[in-house]
Parts: sequence; C-alpha cells; structure tokens
Amino acid sequence: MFFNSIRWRLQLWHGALLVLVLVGFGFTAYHLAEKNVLNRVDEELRRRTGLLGNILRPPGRGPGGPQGRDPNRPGGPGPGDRPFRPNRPPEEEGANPDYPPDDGRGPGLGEPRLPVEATGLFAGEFTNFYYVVWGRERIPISQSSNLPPNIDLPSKPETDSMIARTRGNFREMIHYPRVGPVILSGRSIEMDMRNLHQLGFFLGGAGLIVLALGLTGGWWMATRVIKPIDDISNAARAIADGNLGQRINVVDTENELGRLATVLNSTFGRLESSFARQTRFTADASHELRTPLSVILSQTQLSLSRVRSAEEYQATLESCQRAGQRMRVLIEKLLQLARIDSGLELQRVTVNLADICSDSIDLVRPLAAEKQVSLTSSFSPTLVLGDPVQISQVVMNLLANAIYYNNAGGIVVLTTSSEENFSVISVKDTGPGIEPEDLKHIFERFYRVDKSRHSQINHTGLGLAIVTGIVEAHGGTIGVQSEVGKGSTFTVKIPSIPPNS
Amino acid sequence: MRILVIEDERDLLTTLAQALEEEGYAVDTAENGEEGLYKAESWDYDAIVLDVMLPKLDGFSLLKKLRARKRTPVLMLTARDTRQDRVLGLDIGADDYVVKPFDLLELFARLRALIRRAQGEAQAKIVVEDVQIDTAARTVHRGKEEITLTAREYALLEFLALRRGKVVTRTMLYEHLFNEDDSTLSNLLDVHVSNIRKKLGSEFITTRRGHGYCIE
Repeated sequence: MFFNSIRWRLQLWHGALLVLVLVGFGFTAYHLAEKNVLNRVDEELRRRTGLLGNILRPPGRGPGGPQGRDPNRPGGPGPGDRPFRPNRPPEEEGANPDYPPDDGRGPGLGEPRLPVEATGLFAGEFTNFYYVVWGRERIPISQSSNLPPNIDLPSKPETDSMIARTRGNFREMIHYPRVGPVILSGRSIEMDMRNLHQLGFFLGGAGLIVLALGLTGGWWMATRVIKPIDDISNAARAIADGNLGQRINVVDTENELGRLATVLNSTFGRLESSFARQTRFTADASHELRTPLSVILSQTQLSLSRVRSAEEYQATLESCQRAGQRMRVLIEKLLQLARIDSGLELQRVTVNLADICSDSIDLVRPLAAEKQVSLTSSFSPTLVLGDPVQISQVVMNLLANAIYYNNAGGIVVLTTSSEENFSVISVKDTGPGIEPEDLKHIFERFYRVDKSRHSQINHTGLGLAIVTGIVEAHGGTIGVQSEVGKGSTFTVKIPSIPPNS
Repeated sequence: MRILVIEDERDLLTTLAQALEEEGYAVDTAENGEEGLYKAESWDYDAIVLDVMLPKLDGFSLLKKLRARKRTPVLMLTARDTRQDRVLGLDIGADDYVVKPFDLLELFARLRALIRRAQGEAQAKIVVEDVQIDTAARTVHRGKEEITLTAREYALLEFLALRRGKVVTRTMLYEHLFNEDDSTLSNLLDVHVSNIRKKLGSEFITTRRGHGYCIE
C-alpha cells in the first residue's frame, strides 16, 4: 500500500539515491584519506630507507642505490648534507660480520656501521620507526631495537626496486638494491589507522544526518508536489459525488500541474454545462409532454363527472385525440433527437441535392397553397455523400418553417448551389424575420420564437434542433440570416464530393 | 365567485373553464399573458388560475406586475415542477402551486381554500343561525333539511355568507357572479335573491336600499 503512493515511491527513490551518493562520497573520502595517510607514511619510510641505503653504501656506489645527496630528492634535510662519521651503533655489535661495514674502504666488506644520524632517525622522537638490514643469505645484519617480531624478508624481485607493504598495523618499505644489503624500514600505523577509523565514523555520522535532512526535505517536497494532485483528486471525487460545481483551486497556472488543473477545470465546466443542458432538456421534454397529458386527464375527468350529450363526448374525444397526436409527434421527435445525440446511423450514398430539393418542394406545395405562399426555386446540381431520407427531412423542415412563418402572399425561395468544397442549400422567406434576441437561441431545443403557436400539433420547438443534428452528422453547418420585417434565410452547407472523383 | 383562467393551451383552457363553470363559478379566460394581466387588473376576481409558460408575458412576470397592484388569490398551474420554479412562484406572490397534470377535484378544493382564506374564513362550513353552508360539498342545510339551490343561487348565497355582516353592492354581485360573456339583465339578481328568500326565509338576506344586500 505504501508503494502504491506516489509520495512514498518518490521518497523511496529519493532516499535510495541519497544513500547511494552519500555512500559513494563517504567511501571515496575515506579511501582518499587512507591513501593520503599511506602516501605520507610511505614517503617518510622511503626517505628513511634511502637514507639508510646511503649510509650503508658509499655515494655513487650502485646505480640503483637511493641517492641521499641528490638535491632533487624530496624528504627534507637529510644527514647526507654534511659528511658523517660512520659510527657503529651499540645495537649493531655482533652483527653479521659477513657484511662489510661501509667505511669507504671497500664495498661489501666488514660489519655495517650506521652513523648516529641514521640510527637517530629510528630512535628518540621517532620511536615508532624501525628498520632492519639484511645482508647476504638473508641474514639480518642490523636492526633497530623496536623491531616488531616475526618480520620476514619477502622474496627478492629481479630488479632494483622499492616495495611498500602493509603488515598488520605496520607499514614497511623494503629496498632491494641490485647489489648490497636489503633494507626494510617500517613504522606502526596504528595511530593513523585509528584516526582514519575516527574519520570513517565521522563520515558515517555526517552521512546519516545528511540522509535524515535529505529525507525530511524530500518528504516536504513530495508533499508539496503531491498537494495539487490531492486537490485535483478531491475535486474530482466531489464531482463524482454529484457536486458538479466543484473546481480545483489553481494557485500556480504556469507549472505542469497547474496547466493540468486548468484543463481539468475547463473539462469540469463543460461537463457541468452539458449536464445542465441535459437537465433543462429533460425538464422541457417533460413539460411538453405534461401539457397534452393534462388536457387528456382533465377532459376525461370532466366528461366522466356527469352524463353528457353525444356532442360533448365527441368534443372531449376530439380534444383527447389532438392531445394524443401532439404527444406522438413530440415523442417521435424526442426519439429522433436521442438517436442524433447517440450518433446518427447515416446511409452514405451519392446524393444530388438538386433532386432532393425538387422532390421536397413538390411535397410542400399544398401547404404553400393553403398559406398563400408562392414557391420559387433554382437548382444547380451538386453532389454530396449522405443519407437522402435525412437530407430531405432537413429540406422539408426548413421549407415548412419558411411557409408557416411567412406572410400571406409571401415568397419562399429554395436554391442549391456549389461553393468551394461545399454543397449549399438555401431557404429564403419573406416572413416577419427573427428578432436578434431570438436568433441567438433559434437552434436550441424547445426554443420557440412564436410562443403563441405553442399548442400547434406539429410545432414542438424541436424541428431546427433536429435539422442541426442531421446537418452536423453529415459534417455540415447550418446558419441563419434574418432581418426583422424582411425575412430570413437559412443556409445549409454540406461537404461536397469533388467533381473529378 | 368569479375566476380568471390564463392558459395558452386552448383545449386545456376550455376544459378548465367548463369544469369551473359546472362548479358554479363565473369564469373568464385569457390565452396569453398580456390579455390575462389586462383582465386581472380590470376586475376583482375571487381567484386567478395562472399558467407559467405563456406567450407574450410569462406567468411569473404577470404575477409580479399584478402583485404591484392587487392581492387577488393566484393559483399557479404549470408543467414545470422543479423546486426552483415552485419556490420562485410562491416567493413572487403566488398563493398556491399545482403541477400539471393535475386532478380537477384537487384543483377545485385548492381554489375553494384560496377563496375562503381570502375572506378570512378558515373553515369550509359557514353557519348562519340555523343555516349551514358547506362550501366544500356545495350544499345548504336548514336544520336537518337539505335545501336545493341552483348553481347561481348557491354562488350568490356563498358570496354573501363569506362577507357576513358586510353590505355587498349589486355591482359587486354582478362582477363576481357573472362572467364577461353573460348578458346581465338588471333584474336577474333580484330574481335570485327572492328565490333564496323563498327557500331560507324572507329575513335571511336583508336589502339595504340604495346599497345592496347583506346577511346579518
């Protein structure tokens, strides 16, 4: 469950990354410190080993011998800057006689005699330094008193070399010259290692503190990052619970989450208005159905309240029939709208709009004659891909409106034409026109410009909504232009089939 | 009792008018809001039945304009049954609210209650000495005996009884007992009054010369 939370996952990744960095850093720091310590120790040992070598051999004697007098050689002032008198240190009494002392008389003969300066390097204040010198046959010929036990001479490599090794708490430097005695100098690095371990502990402790701080900061940051997401999810939940007016409180609209919240808010807004439209539509539909229903119920109730004459019963039945027919028309149109809303299934055949319009105009001639409206038409053939039944319904509907809302002696002009990419049907009337206030709502469901025609059976206020639905299902548009007192023109545009295809 | 029905659905309007006339009311009708408002302001109706969705002037606007001048009881009749509609209607001054489709008997009962309360009467039964008038059943008893009255006679009796102790002018009676289409013969009222006197006793309705009639 923790791992399902983004905050915990972020925290986990953050923590893992932090641990990785801290461990890497601590390990490197520790390693560097250790290397540094050993380098320092090695440098000291090398200097001493070299010094010992210089003391044991006359200068320039072996090419591989460390040159104590070499001014380039680091290591500070050595005793080689001044001439020295080789003295035999007391501890070297009885040393290997096979190894000749370096007295300047001849190489490799006699006991080694180390000068005081040399032995001084390994005594007194430098007590943790020790040395040992092996002569031929790997027999120690000289060693310091503080030499730790169990020192063995490693096997000799082929060439003149200086080898450093760590043996327990000791660091040692062994010089194998090509000829001459093997010199080992070493020192205890126990203190250095202790300091190093202390550094390690310190690094570990500091690492833990940094980790804790990092995790706290990470948690805080994750909380801050998650907060807008929580806001969004709370708002979405409230909306799911039915509170459609809920919106996400967007503080920062610039960042990603802010943009997401803005997008969601506009989606919620459209959802709400769509729900509101649906609710209003349902209310309107029930209103439209209730009125004829009230006629039927109150008429029958009244008729049945006492014995009536045959004429009265007939009048009641006629009134009920009118109400029933009105309900039937309304229900049919509501169903049609519902079908349009859920995606109209259109037949897609090549249709010549001129043919459809010419058929339609014949069908409305009786109505036009009754209303004393004359019909004029001008058809230029134009092909669209569509459903002929639905398109003829559009034309019939517009024509019926144009005749119905016309003045006696008025004219209705029906034309088809081709525009760039579009086939156009235009229905023009010379009726009273539509007020700009009504024009805005004319395609809305149940909107009636002439509210006094309310009770007319075939005027449900849904005609233009259905027309719009059909036209849009064909990928077309419908528009209206109207001038009060002069008349209105409805224009339907449907994408046409290109003539060459 | 004279009632104005404002309703644009013609079949419903004629049905309501006929039903109310059969209940003994004098009924005027209007098919749109403007005509309705004009009539409502011109006459003192005992009650108005008002549809909400009307051409020219909707029911709410009509009621608002009417309430600026008159306190006539108004019963709103509408297919809109959302809470907002009901609350709006009652708040701008409707006295009752009936949703379509409605039951005629309920509508009548609500109208009776409206008319009664407008005259300060809470009960459906009005008792004048030994005469009991049941405005719900539209019956009149004298002691145990039921008195048969014509619809118009009953309406006249009820109108006077609801205004007991007050002098009701002939004009008022004409205005409330006859609708706009009735040809009002000047002596028609006297005929009705004398018929009621025959049935309930000559002293039951007193005549104030030059003023009108009164039930003491």
